[in-house]
Order: sequence, then structure tokens, then C-alpha cells
Amino acid sequence: TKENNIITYYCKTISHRFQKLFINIQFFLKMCILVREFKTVPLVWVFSKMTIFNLYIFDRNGTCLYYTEWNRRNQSGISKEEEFKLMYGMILSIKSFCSRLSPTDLKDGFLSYRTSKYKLHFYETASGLKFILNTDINAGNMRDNIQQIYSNIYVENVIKNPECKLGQQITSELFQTKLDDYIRSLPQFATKLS
Amino acid sequence: MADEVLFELLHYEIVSHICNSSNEEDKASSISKLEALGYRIGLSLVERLTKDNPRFKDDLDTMKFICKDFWMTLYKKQIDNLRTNHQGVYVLQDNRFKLLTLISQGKQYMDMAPRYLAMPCGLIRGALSGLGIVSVVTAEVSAMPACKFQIQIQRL
Repeated sequence: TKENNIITYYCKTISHRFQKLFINIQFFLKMCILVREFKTVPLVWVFSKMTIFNLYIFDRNGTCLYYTEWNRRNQSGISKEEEFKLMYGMILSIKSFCSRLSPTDLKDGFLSYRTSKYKLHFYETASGLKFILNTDINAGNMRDNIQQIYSNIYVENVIKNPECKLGQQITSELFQTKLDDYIRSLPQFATKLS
Repeated sequence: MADEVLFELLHYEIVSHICNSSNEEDKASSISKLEALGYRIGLSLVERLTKDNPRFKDDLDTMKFICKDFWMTLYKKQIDNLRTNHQGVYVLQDNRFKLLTLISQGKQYMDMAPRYLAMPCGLIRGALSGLGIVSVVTAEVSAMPACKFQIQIQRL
């Protein structure tokens, strides 16, 4: 009877261990499925808070053509016009700062900077149009995305639209909805996944 | 691709040049000026397009030509819907009219729509007149970028 007891004890512990292992395997498989669903999205993006805060478009002369925000929690506390001036001034300063201090020949110039809480991406077109996109720090390189916004959304819906006067604020609803749809479709915009 | 853009940009510039004149008199007649421009273009264009065609057998056949070949040449698509009451009134409906698709997709800028439709109206009228049909062409937009062209054939 003693041996029997020992055997049942072992059986119990073994089955218990197997159960644990089984649960672990199940968990692992679930994770695999989850990751597979976001095939193109690296694991970091699924488990970290990703978001896009806001977007500024400035023209060559420093006029803010368009501003929009999505998940901005902290307002600057000054009027929007003041904020645009501040932003444009800072970008201009950083640009000249970079070109002066660069030890080698600059190719693209200033691309982005990062603080502890957010990352600012900068893209300037040949015509002097400046795109400034703020995301959280986990968003990777947004250069291609901004290029997309410029070539597929700005050129198509603002430049080719005769009702949009150049060098003035963009009022076209079509442009606004296209831009909003595009930004919301980006994997970097995944606020709900965290 | 580039040649289409060229045509579109030129069209828009012609419209804004004629419509944004400072002279009050010019402003009032701007739509008819655009229509007259379109008429002249349509007249010569249809001559070029039909140089290999035999004579169309009736009005409906002519309309089909306008909907298919003529529209294809101008806007790289066909008219989506053709309707008629068999008494000389034809309605051509384009659900995505090329010159309007980039301007708006809804009610915004509705008051500007007639400017961009004046020349296409003239183009149709000119083409029909080149084929021996005298007509009155009007356009109507309920929501961009869809629009309807109404053709009323004038019996002489």
C-alpha cells in the first residue's frame, strides 16, 4: 500500500506538471497566433504603447498650411499661431545648427529628434515644404510614411485641387479625410493594442 | 500620366483666368465664354476622332459614340449611364467626373462646380454639332464628384 501511495503521489505531481506545461504551451500558441495576425508588425509594437500625436505642414515661407492632432494630451498653453511660430523657429534653428556642426557633408540634414516622451520626425521636400510629425518614442523611421503623405495625399488633393489656393491654409475636406484615414491605418497608430 | 495632368492643370488655369477677372461684365459672361471655348474644341476634336468612321445611323448611335469613344479620349473613362426619353432628351451620367474628383467628395465647394462643367458642356455641344445635331447641353451636380449632363436636341 505504501508503494501504491508513492506511485499515486508521483502520478499526481507528474500530471500536475504536465498540466502546467500544457497551459504554458497553450499560452505560447496563443501568443504565436496573436503575433501572426500582426505579421508585419514587430513584437515591440504590439506590446508597447504606440501612437501618433500631431502633424504640422509648413510652406517655404513659414506659413502653417495645416495642423491636426490625434492623441495629444498636453496642450502648449499658447495660441495656435504662437505655437506654429515657435515650432517653425525651432525647426529652422535646428536645421542651421545641424548644418553648421556636422563634421562631414550633410546628405538629408535634420531627420528627427527624441526626448524621453516623444519623437519628432521632420521631412522637407525639394520645394521647401516641411512636414513635422510627432509620435511616441517607439515609432520607428517614419520617413517613408511622410513621403507618402506628401506624394499621395498632399500633391494629389491640394496641388491638383484648383480650389486650394497655394500658400494658404488648407480647407479641403477631401484632403482632411484622406489624411486622417491614412494616419489611422498606420501600424504606428495602434493605441488600442497596448 | 503626365499628359493627363497637363490637360487638367491647363483646364483649371483657363477656368480661374476667365472666372477671376476683375471686370464685372466679364464675370457675368465667364461661363458662356468657357462654354464657347469648349464648343470650338469639341467641333474640331470630333472631326479628328471620326475620320475613319462611317456616318452614324441615328441620334442614339451618335450619343453612344459620345459616351464611349469621345469621353474615353477626353477623360480616360466611359460615361456610366445613358438615359433618354426618346423625344430628344438624353441624360449622360458620370459617377466620377475626372475634373471634380480632386476638388471635393461631398457638398464642399458646390458653388464652384458650374465653372468646371461649362467647358465639358461646350465640348459635348460642339461634338454633336460637328455630327450634325443642334442641341442645348446643361450640367447638374447633386454631390461631387458625380454629375449629369442633359442634352436637349433641337429639332429644326
